Amino acid sequence: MVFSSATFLFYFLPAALALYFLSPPRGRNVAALTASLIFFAWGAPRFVFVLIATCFVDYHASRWLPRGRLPDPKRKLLLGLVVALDLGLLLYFKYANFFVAEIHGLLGWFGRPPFAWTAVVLPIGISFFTFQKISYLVDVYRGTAQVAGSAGRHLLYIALFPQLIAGPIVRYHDVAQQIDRRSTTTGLFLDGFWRFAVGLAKKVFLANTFARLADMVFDTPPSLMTTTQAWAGVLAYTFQLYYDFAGYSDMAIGLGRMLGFRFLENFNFPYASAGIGEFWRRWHISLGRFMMEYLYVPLGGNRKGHRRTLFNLWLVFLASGFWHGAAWTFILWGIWHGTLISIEKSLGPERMKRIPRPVAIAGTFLLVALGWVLFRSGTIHRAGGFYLLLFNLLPDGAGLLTFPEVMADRSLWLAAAVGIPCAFAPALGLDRFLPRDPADPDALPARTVALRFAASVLIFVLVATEMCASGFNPFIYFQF
Amino acid sequence: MPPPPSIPRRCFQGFLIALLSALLLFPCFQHAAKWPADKRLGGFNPRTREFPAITLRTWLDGSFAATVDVWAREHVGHRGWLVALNRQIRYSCFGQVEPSPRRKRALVIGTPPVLYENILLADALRPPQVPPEKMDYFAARLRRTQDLLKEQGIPFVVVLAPNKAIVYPEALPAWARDRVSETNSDYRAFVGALDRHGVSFLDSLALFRELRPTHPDLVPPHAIHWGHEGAWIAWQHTIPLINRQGILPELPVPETESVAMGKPSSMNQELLGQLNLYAAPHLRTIPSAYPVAAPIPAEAAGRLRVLVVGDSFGFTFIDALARSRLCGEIHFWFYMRTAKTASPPAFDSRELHGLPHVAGLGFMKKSIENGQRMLGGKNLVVLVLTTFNIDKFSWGFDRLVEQLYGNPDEAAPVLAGYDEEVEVNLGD
Repeated sequence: MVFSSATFLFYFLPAALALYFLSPPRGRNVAALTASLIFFAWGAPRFVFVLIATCFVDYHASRWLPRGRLPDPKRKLLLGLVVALDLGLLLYFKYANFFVAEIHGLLGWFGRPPFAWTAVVLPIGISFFTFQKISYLVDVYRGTAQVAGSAGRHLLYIALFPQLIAGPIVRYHDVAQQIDRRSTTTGLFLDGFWRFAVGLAKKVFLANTFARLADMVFDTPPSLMTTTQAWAGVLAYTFQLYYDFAGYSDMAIGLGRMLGFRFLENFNFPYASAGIGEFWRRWHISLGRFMMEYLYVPLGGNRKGHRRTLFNLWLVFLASGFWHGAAWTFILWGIWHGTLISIEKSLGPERMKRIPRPVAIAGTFLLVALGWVLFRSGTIHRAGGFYLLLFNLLPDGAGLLTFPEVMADRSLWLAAAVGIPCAFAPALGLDRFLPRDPADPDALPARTVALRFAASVLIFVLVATEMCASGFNPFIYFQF
Repeated sequence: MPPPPSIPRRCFQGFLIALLSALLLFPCFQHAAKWPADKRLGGFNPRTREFPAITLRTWLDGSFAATVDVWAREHVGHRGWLVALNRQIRYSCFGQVEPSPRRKRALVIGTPPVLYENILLADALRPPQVPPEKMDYFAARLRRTQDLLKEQGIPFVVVLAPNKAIVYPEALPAWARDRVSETNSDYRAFVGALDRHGVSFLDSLALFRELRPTHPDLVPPHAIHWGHEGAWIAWQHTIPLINRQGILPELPVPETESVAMGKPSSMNQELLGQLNLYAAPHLRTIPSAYPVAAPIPAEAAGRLRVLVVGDSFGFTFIDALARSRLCGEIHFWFYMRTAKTASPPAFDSRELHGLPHVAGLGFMKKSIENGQRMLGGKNLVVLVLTTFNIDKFSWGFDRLVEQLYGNPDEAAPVLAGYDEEVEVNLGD
């Protein structure tokens, strides 16, 4: 189910909120879990059983993971087995088709016919909830969190509908206490709705508008485009992806607040970063934290010398790329970022600081945008053609015939006028004009609450008009 | 732990939450109670009328959820008002218009008050989409159809419908006006192919371009299709093509006695109806031109028994056939899917401008039996198609004629990859 769909906004959300708030406080976890399972079963009914079964296994295994329950080698073995089971499922569902296609390619190379294979359907959100499952198991193993109070509470942590499909990847120790005990105030609820509306606006008004240009450019053969058009498409996709994913994260955080959960932020003006390292501390923060805690640190982090640190970083980004999608383009995208961050690390912070900040921000943005070409292109061949065009190494194409229609679209220019400065707000000194997240929403001035509510309702109505008038448009990160 | 908010503050915030609850529940309430009444939308037909039925299979394979998502979007309470509000915002703030909610294709606003449908504009802007060998193959098949029908004593004419964006480009926005070209379109390539294969056809685009300085209403400002006057002129120019085939006794070409300006028919303002706006300068009604047919010799009246096969341009074309009084029987096989009939002597074009006499005969699928039924007793067949239907292979009509009258040994060989059945959306 997509947050920006009529099914969600007009049917599921009112019903889920009614079920949740009409339940007695002690029954609210059950209400939230019921709503979450319906939410997941809506788009992927077959996989809800896989989710429940594996959560059941994880939970019961986790009871033996705390220190003292088993000898350490056995604990480690048990953790390894359960994590392997979760990763095995991810590998099967997400990567089996990719590996089989590669094997078929190899067989074809040797003149052998391909073997029969029925394509595996990817359960929605599996990349995200697999990481949450691992987070729970490792946190319990490390002793940073206690075993969940019941299998239902563990399942609620994994399946909670605001973050189930596309994150943020919530670490267990960040929400363990909230699952057991949380307070929902009217202020927090309204603040959650405001945040949800902001996310809706980012998705529907900004991301979808940028998408019109990006889709047109990336769906056209490079031979039919000019270099300028290709750059326009790359920029449009760069902002589309940001507002699409940041919008989803806002909605997830907002819905969480409406239910009394406080999730950590997932974005912090990533395009205003003055380096790739900083970019990854601001972009998809929850993934960066997960990779840091559950992969980089176990690999040895920066404790095993400079070369090993660089290798670990490179490996983490390779894994991150492959996590995003089962395709060579994603692997290359991971390698691209891994290489950039390794170079940045080798240069050292002192040399990086010598670069004037505006230049560093512009350079980082350019490098990141170039990486998104791999993210969007689908095949290496197509990405290669696109890069050649971007650097003017292909003869200029005939030009996109309908391109002027897109450029004449005033909504695109408006989205650019609002979206681009907002994406660079801290670098431009504009962030002080943007609404801030209150530590205590109930302490906000009443006038601010009223204004935010009015703006939220306006956004909601405008989104409803847009939604009724257009077709299905899922979030980009749903595919991961 | 922050202190709890004061009671007045909680009441205020509780009131806002109550308002929000009402907002969230209102669409469901309106859908269930049908109150207050929703706004009717033009150009929109819901794909899912009834709530989809759930079975274990449809639930497990996700098709139930997918259908319900479409249903929810199409049946949400106050959808009509919401869509119209969206259209109005897009129009007033961004100068955009879209015809109907379920279509992606945008309308293009020309210099007021002309409206263009994007699908035809796109055809005039982009390079030809149909490969030349496919054009040639289709033209050869039409020639074969012409020959087979000639053996049955039936003349056959292809009438190519015009593209408004090419006929009247001057009203287009600058970004499109400078790029519109007849040579971009599949139309011109198809004309060449028909010519090479000796198919009898009417190039209405060339005709309209020639006539447009003196005929501003060949395609009305708010129409996709040719208007009544445009279709009438096309029919007048089709008759010599029939006569040239020498199969039927010479037919007189009916004269135009006068052109009356009157209230536009639904065909003449179909784009207007799809705007779904509350207010816009384009919403004003523009009178349309209706030709008044001069009397024809009594012996020529009702001589033709015509089958028109074609797309939506056929509707106004059969009006022109009826207007001429040359036809005793007119059947229209719309996309080879549904049948219509027009009753020729039912009105005098001097008194009645519109087209109230076309009646639906219901669904009529392509089959030998239906082919015999539709072609039985006919002495003229006209294929009417527009540029984006060139690659639809006459929706199977030529194959049907081959099955009815052809010798399989003489039939054109099937060209690999080009003989698939084409799904047709009757809404188009």
